[in-house]
Amino acid sequence: MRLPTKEKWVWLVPLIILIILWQFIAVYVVKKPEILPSVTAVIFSFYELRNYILPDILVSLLHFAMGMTSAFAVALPLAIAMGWYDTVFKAVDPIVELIRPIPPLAWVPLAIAWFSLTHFAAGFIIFIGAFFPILIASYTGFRDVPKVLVETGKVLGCIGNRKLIRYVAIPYALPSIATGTRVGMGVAWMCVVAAEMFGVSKYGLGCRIFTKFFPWHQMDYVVAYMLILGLVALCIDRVFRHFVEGKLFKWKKGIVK
Amino acid sequence: MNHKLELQHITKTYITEEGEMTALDGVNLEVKPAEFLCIIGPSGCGKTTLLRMVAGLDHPTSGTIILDGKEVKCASPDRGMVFQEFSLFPWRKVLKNVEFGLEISGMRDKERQAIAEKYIALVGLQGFENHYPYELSGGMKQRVAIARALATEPSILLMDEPFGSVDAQTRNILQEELLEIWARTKKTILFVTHSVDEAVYLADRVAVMSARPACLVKCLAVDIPRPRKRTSAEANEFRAKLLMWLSLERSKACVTV
Repeated sequence: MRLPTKEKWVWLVPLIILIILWQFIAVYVVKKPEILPSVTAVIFSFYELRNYILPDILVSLLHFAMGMTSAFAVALPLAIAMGWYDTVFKAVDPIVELIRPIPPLAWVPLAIAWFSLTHFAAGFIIFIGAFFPILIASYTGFRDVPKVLVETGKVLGCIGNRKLIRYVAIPYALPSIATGTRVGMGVAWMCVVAAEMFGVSKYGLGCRIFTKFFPWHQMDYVVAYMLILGLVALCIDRVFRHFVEGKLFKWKKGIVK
Repeated sequence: MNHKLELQHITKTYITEEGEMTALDGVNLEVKPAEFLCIIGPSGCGKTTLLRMVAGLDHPTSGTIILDGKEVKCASPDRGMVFQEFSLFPWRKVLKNVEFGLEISGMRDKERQAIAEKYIALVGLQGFENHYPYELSGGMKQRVAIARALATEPSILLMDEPFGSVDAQTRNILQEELLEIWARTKKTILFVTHSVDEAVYLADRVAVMSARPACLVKCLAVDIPRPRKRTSAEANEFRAKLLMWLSLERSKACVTV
């Protein structure tokens, strides 16, 4: 009975060791805060930057939300069409495969040319980043719908593609759509920072790091913001998993606890 | 015209690389109301194709299928179908699976729940309404599939080797239960099987199909009084008769292959 409580906190041990090691190396070995800021300096930066953190997070989240929702809104209908109608797949897949390998950041010049330095420009880069993971995972889900379920749907009265898609294909593909969305969110978050760093936006976490902290070699601030970037992404992922995977997919064996 | 179902000169030809291949060559069959008819034949003879045509999932190259005086053109809930593969919608609980056809037809929540519960009781699964398919055994899954097929009150029940993927003992139990359901609902049942034992135990009549290109060679009335005993002398005698016909057909198949 003692073991479970012990195991519950086991993750703290390596974490504390890591923090002590970091502090030790920064203070006694490297001794240069512009190369490796100490833990204490980073913690103190959180306090110093307290007025910037929240607005920056909100701006970055705004970019993230703009990119994600638009990517989802475009990718999902296209995924349904590509997954359900083979002709659409054959017609569109070459274009998708042509555009997909282009790194989202290569779109930065065009994004700025099209939207100038607005939130839309950042949102666009994130859209590009999130679009393809969502599209590909989703259409795979639709293509994989077992024939027997489609036929069962037909025999039970799903006449026409619309009903089959609504009652059979979408429920079946939902886990794939969720997986694609989760992967897409990861890519989107990378794009948030990168897009903001490359000057697509004048605000946001990435922008602050690159244009305000880095030129002055304030590495303690940089690391503080890096930690924020990680934590925000972690929170987004956890919230998503809690609400989507935990609630929607009880029927999937393996996810059920 | 007191036939429930009539198949008139059904042919099916596939176009393959080697040219046209005839799978079904002029099948004629009549099924009486409330009759339990088993179709048996060597594997690959097209018995499943025939059943799928009645379901409306496949279309004959020529010939007509007439159910209740009307020609069958496409799939519809007036023909219930139970597939060999497990065909429950994995994201729906047992109750919702059974309700599926009624939901599609636009029936109200409470009404369809009452009907679904009635059929779940009929297949002996009370208490499992809120289970997901993955929580059920193979035999239970097929019971749910039967309940689901019956819930829309089809005029005929089509069964494609429904007990082919459950173990032998469960299979015997399911056969007994099916006979009970049949006696209670007075449904016409068209049942495809490759098992001689199954046909002899279940059917009023057995239709024996020939090897490819298939036609019906013989319709044998199973004149064994019900309830039947699997091991009775009459059953054995009938089995021998059926096996003889089948081996005759198989040997023809070997010659042609």
